[in-house]
Parts: sequence; structure tokens; C-alpha cells
Amino acid sequence: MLLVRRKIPLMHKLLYISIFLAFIIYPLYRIYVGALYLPLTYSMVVLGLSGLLVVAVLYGKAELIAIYYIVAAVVFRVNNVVQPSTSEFIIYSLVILHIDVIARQLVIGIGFRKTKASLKGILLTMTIPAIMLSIYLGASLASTKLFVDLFNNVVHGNILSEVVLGAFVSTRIGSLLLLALVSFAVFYVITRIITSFISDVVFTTPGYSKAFVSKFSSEVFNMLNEGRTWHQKLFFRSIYILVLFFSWVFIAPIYRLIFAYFPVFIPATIAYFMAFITSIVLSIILYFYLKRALMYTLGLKIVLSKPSKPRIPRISLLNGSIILSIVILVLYIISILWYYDWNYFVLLKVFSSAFGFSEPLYDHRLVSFVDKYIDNGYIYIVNEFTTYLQNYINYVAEEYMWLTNLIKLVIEALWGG
Amino acid sequence: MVKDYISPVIGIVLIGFSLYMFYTGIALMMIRDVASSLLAILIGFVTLSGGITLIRTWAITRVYSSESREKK
Repeated sequence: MLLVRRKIPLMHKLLYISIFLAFIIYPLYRIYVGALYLPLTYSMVVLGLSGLLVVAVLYGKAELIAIYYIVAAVVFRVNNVVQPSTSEFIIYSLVILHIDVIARQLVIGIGFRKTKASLKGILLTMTIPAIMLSIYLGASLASTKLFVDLFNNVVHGNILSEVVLGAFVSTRIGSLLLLALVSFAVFYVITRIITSFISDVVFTTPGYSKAFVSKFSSEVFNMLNEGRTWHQKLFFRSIYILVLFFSWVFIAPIYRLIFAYFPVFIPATIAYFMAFITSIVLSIILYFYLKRALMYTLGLKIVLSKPSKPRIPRISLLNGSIILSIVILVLYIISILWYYDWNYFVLLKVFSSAFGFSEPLYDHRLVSFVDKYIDNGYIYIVNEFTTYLQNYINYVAEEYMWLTNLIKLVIEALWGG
Repeated sequence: MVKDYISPVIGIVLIGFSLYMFYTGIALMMIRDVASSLLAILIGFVTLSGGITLIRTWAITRVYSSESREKK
């Protein structure tokens, strides 16, 4: 890669930089105008971070520019500065990521002569994101409207909906179907998520964790530069950006809910930043599953996992899960000793009753501690759960409306209002 | 021949012992012996992961050795 880069003529490099600059100037102007309305600290942060743009332009890293836009968007949103809006920044990020791909292919010349855009590729690039956008928009609008309509109709006594829904659910087959759906959902969650989580925890070894982390980080590194031709790159980037903002809708309310209890210690900016980071991680995972499913469905590429090279296994008891459980056991024994003032006789009694050799101990202090902090805490959480859920749904609805407006804006920007 | 089956048998014994420890842990928790109950459950976890690891490595070794014998 370095050799290729050295071969690029100076004129081409300058042309590449000038294309970048042409697309950055207007967003920068908007950011500087908006920064006038920010408090001094925040405006200093926004203006200071614009140094990232210099690095990004010089080294051709469009991702850094997109990150700067995201940071600026969060700062403006937290401070309730309306102009420039978050949706503007998302359009700027999409534009700069796409311009980077096109500029690389066209200006630097690597692959410009070799790679011709095929009609099939162009059609795919145009149609798939368009279909996805319209499905998302339609589904979001329809589901919100349908839910509100259904709720209103059932509550306020629309005869038709009461007859259809009420009659269906109240019949034996309808209630059985509903029960089957719910039990299937529970079964699915248990088999797919909980058992895989448990088996991951039980079978975790240091080698597996290391391989997982290195694979994950390399995937993240290659994510935004996927695809061989420019239309493939555009296609993958569009899908990723969409997935990122849809995961944001569900992640942000959780952080808002948690940080609503610590408004003094944790400012809203940190909550939003943490939500962004979690959304990025989650969207990478979702993006890979979505891409694989899409590729498989369209028959573009048969996805097969590569078999790893077999190694000679040896029987050893010292793997990650055993070491972890032994460490926890030792820590627990030390804490028992500390709790009983380093009295070894009590520890021996605890051991013998744990194996069932002697009568159980009754420690009033410990039992009252458990009752007070664990049992009552659990009961409190269960009682308050409905309130938490209600708040979460309210926050999701708020973010969802924001996203719907944003998608509408993107569509208007792409196809005209 | 007998040597081949030592590790899975020990693994099964360890898993059975872990089940006994979990049972003891629950029984002790019901009569509010908190410290011993948690200790029993933690010992159960250690023996469970030990047993599973023994059986898993034994199975992998068998598959690997049969494959390498077929190649020869």
C-alpha cells in the first residue's frame, strides 16, 4: 500500500485534497456559525477538534471527518442549538464518505481504468438502499400509526376493531395462537441467547478470547472500506449508516433512563457519547448479520465459515473458565475470613456445612444484611419495573419520531421533496 | 483401553458432584445459611467447569486422533 501511495503523482494528490476541501467548506461554515451560540467550553471543544479535519484531509481519512461531524452534532444537540441540525450532519457524513470513495477511484487512478461500473452493480446500488429506505420509512410510519389507531380504537370502543381483535383473542384458537407465539418467542430467546451465552462463558479460553478480539477489531478496521468497486463501497456504507442510526434509536433511551438518576454527576453529553459508542459496537454486529443474510438471500455470495487449522489438543484442566471460577472461590473464602474476623474455626464450620457434614449455621447479622439489601432490593426493582418500562417506551417513541423525520429529510434530499 | 476412559469418567463424576453441591447450596439457602450456601454453589461451579473441560478435551482428542489415523 505504501509503495502504491508513493507512486501517486503530486498533481493527483492535490486534486484529491481539493475535492475534499470543496465538500468540507460549507459544513465547516455552518459549524462555526452554530458555535457562536454555544457556551464557551463547548465552542472551544468544537473548534479545537476541527484540527482533526487537517489530519483527515492530509492522510485521506474520511472516517475522521465523519467522527468530527458526529461529535459536533452531539454537542449541538445537547446544548439545544437548533441550527445546524443533527440531520444536516448525517447528510454531511454520508456525502463525505461517498466522496472519499469516488475521489479515490477517479482521481488517484488506481483501478479507474481497470474497474468499470457495471450496469448490474449500479442498479443494485440504487435500488437496494432505496427499497430499504422506503421499507423503513413505511414500516415506521405504519407501525406507529397502526399502533396508535388500534390502541385508540380498542380503548374508545370502535365496534369493528373490538369485533375483529377482541373476538379473535377471546376464542380458544386465538388465545392458543397468542400463547404459542409468546412461548415460541421465549423458547427462541432461551435457546439462542441464554444457552449460547452460558456455553460461551463455560468454554471461554484465553486463546478463544484473543482470537475473537483480534478478529472483531480487524473487521471493524476493514468495515468502511469493504467492496472492490466504487458502487459496492457506496452500497455497504449506506447500509452501515442506516443500521447505525436504527440501533441508536434503541440504545440512547437506555442511557437516558440510567443517567436520569445521576443528573448532577454525569452531564448529558457523556450519556449521549456513551450511547453513540454502544450504538457503533451494536450496529457493527447487526450490520454483519444483516449483510450476510442479504448476500445469502440474493445469492450474491455463498457464505461459508472458514475451518480453522486443527491443532493437537491436550488434556489440561487449566483453561479460562476454571481459572476464573477458582479465583472467585478464593476471593469468596478470603471475604468469609474477613467477615468473621479471621477466625479459622468458623471457616471450617462453613466448609463442613457446605458439604453437608454438619448442622447449618444461622448468622443473624448476615441474614438481616441479605434481607435488607438483596431481597428487598429485588422486590423493589420488580415493583418499579413497570415504571422503568413505561419511561423507556416514552424515550423510544421520542427518538423514533426524530429518526422518522430524519429519514424523510434524507429521502427529500436524495429524490426531491 | 481402560486409560482412554479415565478422563470422561472423572468428568462425569465431577459433574455429578457439582449437581450435589448445587442441591446443597439451594437447601442451605432455604434455611438461611447464607455463607455455606454460597460456598457450596461456588464449589459446584468449579467442579462443573472442570468436568465439562475434561469431557470436551477428551472428545476433541478422540476426533482428532481418528482423523489423523484415517489420513495415514
